[in-house]
Amino acid sequence: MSNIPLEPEVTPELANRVIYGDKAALAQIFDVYRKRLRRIVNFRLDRRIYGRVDPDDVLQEAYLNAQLRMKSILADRAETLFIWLRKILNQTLADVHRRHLGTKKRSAKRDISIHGGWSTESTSAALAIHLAGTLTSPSQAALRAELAAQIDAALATLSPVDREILALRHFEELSNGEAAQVLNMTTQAASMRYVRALSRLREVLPAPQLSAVPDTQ
Amino acid sequence: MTEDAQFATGIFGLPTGRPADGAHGRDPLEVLASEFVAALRQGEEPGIDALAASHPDLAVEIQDLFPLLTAMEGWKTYRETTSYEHRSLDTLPGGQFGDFRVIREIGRGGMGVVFEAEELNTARRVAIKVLPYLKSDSRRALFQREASTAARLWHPHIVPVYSFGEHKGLCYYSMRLVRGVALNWVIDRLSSNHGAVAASDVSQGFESPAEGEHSTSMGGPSDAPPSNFPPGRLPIVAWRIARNSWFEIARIGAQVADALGYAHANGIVHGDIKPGNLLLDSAANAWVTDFGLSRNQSEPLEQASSGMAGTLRYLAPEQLSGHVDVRTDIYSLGVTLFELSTRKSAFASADFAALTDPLRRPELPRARQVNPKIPRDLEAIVFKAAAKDPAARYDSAASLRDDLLRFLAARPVRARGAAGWLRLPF
Repeated sequence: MSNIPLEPEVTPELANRVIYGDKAALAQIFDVYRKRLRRIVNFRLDRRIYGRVDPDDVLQEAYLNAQLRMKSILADRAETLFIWLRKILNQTLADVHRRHLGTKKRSAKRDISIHGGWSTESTSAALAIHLAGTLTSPSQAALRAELAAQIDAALATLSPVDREILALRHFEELSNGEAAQVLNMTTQAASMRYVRALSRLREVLPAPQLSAVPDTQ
Repeated sequence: MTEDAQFATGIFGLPTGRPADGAHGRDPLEVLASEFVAALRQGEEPGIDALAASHPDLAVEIQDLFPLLTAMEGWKTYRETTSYEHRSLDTLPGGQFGDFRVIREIGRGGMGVVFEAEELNTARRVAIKVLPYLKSDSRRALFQREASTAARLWHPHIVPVYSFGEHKGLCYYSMRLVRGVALNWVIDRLSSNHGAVAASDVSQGFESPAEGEHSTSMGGPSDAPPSNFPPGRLPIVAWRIARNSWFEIARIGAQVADALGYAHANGIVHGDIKPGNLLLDSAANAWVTDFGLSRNQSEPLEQASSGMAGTLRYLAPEQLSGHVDVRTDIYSLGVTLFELSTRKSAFASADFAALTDPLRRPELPRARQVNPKIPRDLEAIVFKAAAKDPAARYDSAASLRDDLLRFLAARPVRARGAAGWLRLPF
């Protein structure tokens, strides 16, 4: 429990001001969560539109949408402000993708898939980023790419649910409780599902390349 | 307000902190994993062994799963640092970039994106390679140093670097626009139904580089003046490289080895010789690209397809331990020639661990085991060049070139001479 960092800047007073429709309070809260929200954009923005869409513009659009929805914040029955903002951001992302890729209207409730996260085209073998610094770059680059290919192949064999919980916990950095809320399940179920997803990923990944990654961050 | 901020709620019942996430009912392994990951994100280096030792009941699972947590976090970090780089490069085409007008993207490699461009003050067509955003000043300085070294290389089989610099925070260098295809394209082509490559294929290949290859192949539109044929030179004689064009393969190898020998004599090791860095122009001449520049970038740009994946096999085993010298390049050229003559991926059956572990890297198979039609002398040259032990390889690129030239002249090659008693008639 103690390992879960809080955002101390978001006080209940601030939250209440948002509920009363205070735009300055919303801006303040949005700023607190900006880093986490931006991470979601990074991982879920389709690479095909990277050049055309600035992640900061997506955040700005999400912020404006949040302003519009402030009135209904209680009706939205969001568990926390962050989860509420995340939901709005995901709807905004769906709009952005629809505009740029012309995809069919998606269910606003459903999260868009994590293109950035798992597809072959964006995998960056970051696993190997921690590999020994003595390596020359071509070897590093090749190792990264090789590892990415391996992880990709492994992830492709997982079910969408398994992939999603891994994305929530690792890419979006949600806590178990938050992931449970997003997936609409109990904390117990989310906890078990995460371990199961990890085990499945582990099963399909050959062991050696993991041991090649030292425990550094 | 409540004392525990995690349960803090406003008067309207909207919690402000992260939701209650007590350990109750959660999988104990997940609780430990969360703590482990949180420590990683704090920049700590939590030890897996120590953690396993303090939780003996979960030790097996911890040892098995937690390296994966480190891996996932590392992957995430990398993606975050590269997202800017992707965008910075994707927005380039169609615009002006420093002294250049960017015409089109012609190739994307692990180390950057190559564009065809027009140099504004000379109106000549060039290729510019733009590197991903380099954050550290020291790395940019290193790029400048290496680019200036590379720009001094002048050899008929090395793509000349014209200029280099930095524009809007992106490092780039301009070079001769070689109207050619990369050798991996050639290998693909030879293994496909075509079975052969001719001058016209090369022209077509670089005008539509998107077709199935993802190397740093370069080219220009058909209406562009053929920059590699100065006025006064005759058009190219028709040529054709087929699957059994052993002499053509040896000639390409000799050209590359000659270029390597020249660079080595100037104190520059390429460090990343592979089919994707070797171009074949429409006169069937080989060009080495990315000389001396590839070793600088340790923040590779990820690319749209798996272009970089699978290039591990061209790296010499000692390179994986950080050791690079002239014999490293010789090894990589040997593997390239193996694939050019067999049209098969070297170490096809080796797994990832065997490729990445210098000690477990197998010897390159004998080329004739893959294709018995390969001449014994060529096989011997390839095998010697790509020997696992650096001491067993050619001691210089020049001696590799000379042996290839002996093969071309139908004279006994040194690669077999040392063990003359093994020499068998064809």
